[in-house]
Amino acid sequence: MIKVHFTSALKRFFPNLQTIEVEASDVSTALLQVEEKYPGMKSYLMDETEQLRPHVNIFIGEDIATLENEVSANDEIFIFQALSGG
Amino acid sequence: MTKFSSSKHYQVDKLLVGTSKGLITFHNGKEVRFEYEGLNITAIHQLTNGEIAVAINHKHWGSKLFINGAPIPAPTFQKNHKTVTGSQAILKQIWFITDGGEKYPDRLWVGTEPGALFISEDRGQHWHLINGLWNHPSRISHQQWFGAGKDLPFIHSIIVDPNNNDCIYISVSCAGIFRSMDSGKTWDLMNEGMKAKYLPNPKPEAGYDPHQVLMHPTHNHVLWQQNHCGVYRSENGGKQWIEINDQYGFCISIDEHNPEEAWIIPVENETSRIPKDRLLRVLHTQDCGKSWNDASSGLPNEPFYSIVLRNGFAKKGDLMAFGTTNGNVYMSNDKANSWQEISTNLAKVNYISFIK
Repeated sequence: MIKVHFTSALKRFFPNLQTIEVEASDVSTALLQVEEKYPGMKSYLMDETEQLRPHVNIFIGEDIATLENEVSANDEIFIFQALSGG
Repeated sequence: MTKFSSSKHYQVDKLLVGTSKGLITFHNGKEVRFEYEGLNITAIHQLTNGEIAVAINHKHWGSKLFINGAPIPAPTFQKNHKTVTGSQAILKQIWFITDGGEKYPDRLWVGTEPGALFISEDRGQHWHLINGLWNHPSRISHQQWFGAGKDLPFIHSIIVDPNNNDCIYISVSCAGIFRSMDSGKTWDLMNEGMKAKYLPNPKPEAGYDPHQVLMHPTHNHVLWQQNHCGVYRSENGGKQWIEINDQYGFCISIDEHNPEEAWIIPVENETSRIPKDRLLRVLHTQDCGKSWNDASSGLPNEPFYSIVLRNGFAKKGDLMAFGTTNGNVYMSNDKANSWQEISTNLAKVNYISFIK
């Protein structure tokens, strides 16, 4: 199982948000399961072309990742927003 | 998903101020509510049942829609939808929300950037791109749509004729004004009489920049607009526009009763987007724009450097209000005969609306 952790900044939109476990072979399929658990989340992380939004960062462990990156058992995915001011 | 605080308890004549940092409600000139904390409000509309539709633009998570604080899906483009520059269309901002009128109680319209019009027949649960406009020859074949202040054209004004809810006007910056008489299936250009002085041919079929367009609520053949190239008025439903002056600005307000009466807030020009003569001033006409009188009593007399955006000026009966890009809000309860400052501490005001 792969753990998916979320930035606390998403809790205002998904108040029941907590770390979940998914079974997936890559980041993209992991996010499909995130969408099943939290309907609507996909539109927060990806645009309509299913590309990661420009200011969303996903890490596998400490390494920044793309949607295509493979994951394996015991990996941990972290979903963060990029730092930006204003 | 979470539900922001409910907006069901609004009473009469409250003022909603949509800012770049949240939605603030004023009642009798006092702040009474703060919602959508920290979020950039881009559009507000009170639906016919009293609920409040709100659009936000979030830097990280994209453009979102809510009704009474509860999220509803936002419209999306499909993979075959290309912008005027040929790139994949991706929703950047929701500029305008309105409802379908009495005939279509579950209908919503949304205008977006990139410039597209979306319709929902189920109060926002599902959205459909209006293909008749997206594929209009002026956009597809003639390439007469282009960005103005934004990289891409955007739709910022939608008017549903209250007497004929199948009659829709939309305004594109830049392309101009379009009218549909069949709820969006087919569209006609309504740009006759306007100027586009920033183009080699200032009288093209399309390519105009109507900053804000309003329809008189009872004299539905009367339209007013604050355009990039001046103030215009039409007496025949936009078939012909009459140029009133070449005053630059973004917003306009019209009287609900007298179709000859309007207010504007002048901006210096397209390259100096500060108040004209560095003075925050409201001008008022009661004769279709032949003459204008100053209606600025109570506004600051010292130099002022912020402006009022389209949709930053609202009127409801004797109540009028506007908000500035530096976060000031001014209100009048006597049709602009006098103004009171009700806040100087907000963030950039994007949108203002009186609600019941």
